[in-house]
Amino acid sequence: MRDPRPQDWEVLGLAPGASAEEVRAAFAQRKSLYDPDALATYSLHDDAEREALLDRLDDAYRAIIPQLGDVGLYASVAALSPVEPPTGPAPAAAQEPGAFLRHQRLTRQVSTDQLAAETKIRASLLELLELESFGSLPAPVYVRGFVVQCARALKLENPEGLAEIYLAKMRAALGESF
Amino acid sequence: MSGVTAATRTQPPLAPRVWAIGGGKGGIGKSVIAANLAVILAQRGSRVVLIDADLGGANLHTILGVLTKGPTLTDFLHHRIERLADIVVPTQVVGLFLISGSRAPVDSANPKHGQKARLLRHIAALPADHVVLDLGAGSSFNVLDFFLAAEHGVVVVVPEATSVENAYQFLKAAYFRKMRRAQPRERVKEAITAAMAHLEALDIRSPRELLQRISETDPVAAAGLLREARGFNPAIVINRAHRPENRQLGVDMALALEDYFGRRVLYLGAIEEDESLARSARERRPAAERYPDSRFVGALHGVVDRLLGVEEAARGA
Repeated sequence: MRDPRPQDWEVLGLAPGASAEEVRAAFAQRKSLYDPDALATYSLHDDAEREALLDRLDDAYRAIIPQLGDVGLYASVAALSPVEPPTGPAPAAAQEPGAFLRHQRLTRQVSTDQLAAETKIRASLLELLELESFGSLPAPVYVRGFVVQCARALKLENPEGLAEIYLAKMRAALGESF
Repeated sequence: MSGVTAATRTQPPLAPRVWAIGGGKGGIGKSVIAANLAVILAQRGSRVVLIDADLGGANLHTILGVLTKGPTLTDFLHHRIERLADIVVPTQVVGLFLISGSRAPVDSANPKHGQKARLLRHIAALPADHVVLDLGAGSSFNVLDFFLAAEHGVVVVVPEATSVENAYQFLKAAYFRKMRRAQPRERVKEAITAAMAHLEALDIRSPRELLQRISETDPVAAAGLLREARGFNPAIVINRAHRPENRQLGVDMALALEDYFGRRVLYLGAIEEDESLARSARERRPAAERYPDSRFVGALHGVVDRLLGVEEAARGA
C-alpha cells in the first residue's frame, strides 16, 4: 500500500479531500467510460493507452480509498485483487447485496473475468454491480437478470430473492419509479 | 433599463460572436442544425449572418428556401467580389441573413491561407451580433482553420461508432493544428519534439500529460502552449438521440475529452430528430420557423440557452 499522490486525485477528476462516496462514484464512472466496449471513448485511445488509463485508475483507487476510513468491503485493498479470499466477515445480503455477491465470489476464489465468461456479463459491469454503482448500471430489468445469473453461477440459495433485495435498494437509491 | 437595451440593439457589438458547426463526418445533420440555430438566434432578436462554409457541398440556401442567383462565398474568395458584406442576402426570417456557398459543380474547395485570413477579417467586420459558420465534413486544414477561428466550435455527433471516431479525429487534428501554429519560437518546438520523441518512455498518454511534462522541463515553453490551449474550448451536441442512453453519450464524451485534453468541454445537449424535419425539408423552410413546438426545435432552444449562458459567463468574467 502507498500514500495517495496528487495525480491519483487527478486521475479520478477530484480534488483532494473528496468523500469516499465521491471517490467511489468517480471510480465507477471512469471504469465504465474507459471500458473497451464503451461507445463514448471509441477510438480516442489505442489499446495500450486504454489499459494504462485503467491501470492508473485502479492504482489511484487503491491508494485513496483506504485513507477514507470504513466504507464497506470494497474499501479493502483486496477488493481489487479479485481472487484473494476475503478477510472480513461476510456482509449481510439484506443490507449490502453487492458486497455480499463479491464476498461469495471471492470465497469461491472466482475472478470477475471467470464469472464474466460463465455469465456472459462484462467483467466491468460485474464490478459495478458489486460496487452497487446504481447510476452506472443499465435499467433495473437487466440488473435483475444480472443478479440472478451471478447468484446461480455462484450456486447461491434463492437467486430471485437476492435480486429482489438488490432492486429494492437500487430503486431507493435512484429515487425513481420504474 | 429599456433605454440601455435600445442603445445596445441599434449598435451591434464591434465584432460579431462567431460560432462554427463541424463534426468531421458527413450526413450527421450539421447543416440543418446550423440553419435552425441561426433561425432561433434571429427569432430571439439578434442580427445573424449564416455562412455556408461547406465549400464542396453547400446547401443552406435550400434548407432556408432562399433563391440564390447572386454571388457566393467562392466569388469572394476568388476576389470577384471585394466586400463580404456585399454578398449577404436577406432570408424570409427577420434578422437572419445568408452568405451562400458555391452552387457550381466543380469549384475550388481549397482557399489559400491569404484568402482565409481575408475572409476571417471580413467576418469580424460584419454588422451582426452572431455569425454561424456551417463547416464541411472531414478534417482538412480549411475546415480546421474555420473551426479554430470561431469562439465556439461546436462538434455534432450521432450515436454511432463511425461518428464518434470522426469527432475524435477532428478534435485531435484541430488541437494539434492550433498548437503547431502557436509555436513559432524554436524552444517551444524543441520542447515538443523532445517530449514527443519519448512519449512511450515518459508514459505520456494525452496532450494534457504532454503539457504537464513540458512544464517540468521548460516552464516558459509550457506557458506559451498553455495560453494557446486555453483557446481550445470545443462543445458537443448529440444529434439523433433517439434512445435514453444517447443523452449520457454526450456527458461521457465531454468527460473523456476533458481527461484527454485537460480542457473543459461543454456538452450542449441531445437533439432528437422528429417528423417536423422531414416535413420542413419537403417544404424547404427551416423547422424552427415552421414547427417551433416540435421536439427537435425545443431541444435546439436548449442548445442555444447553454451557448448563450457560457457567453455571458465569459463576458462577466
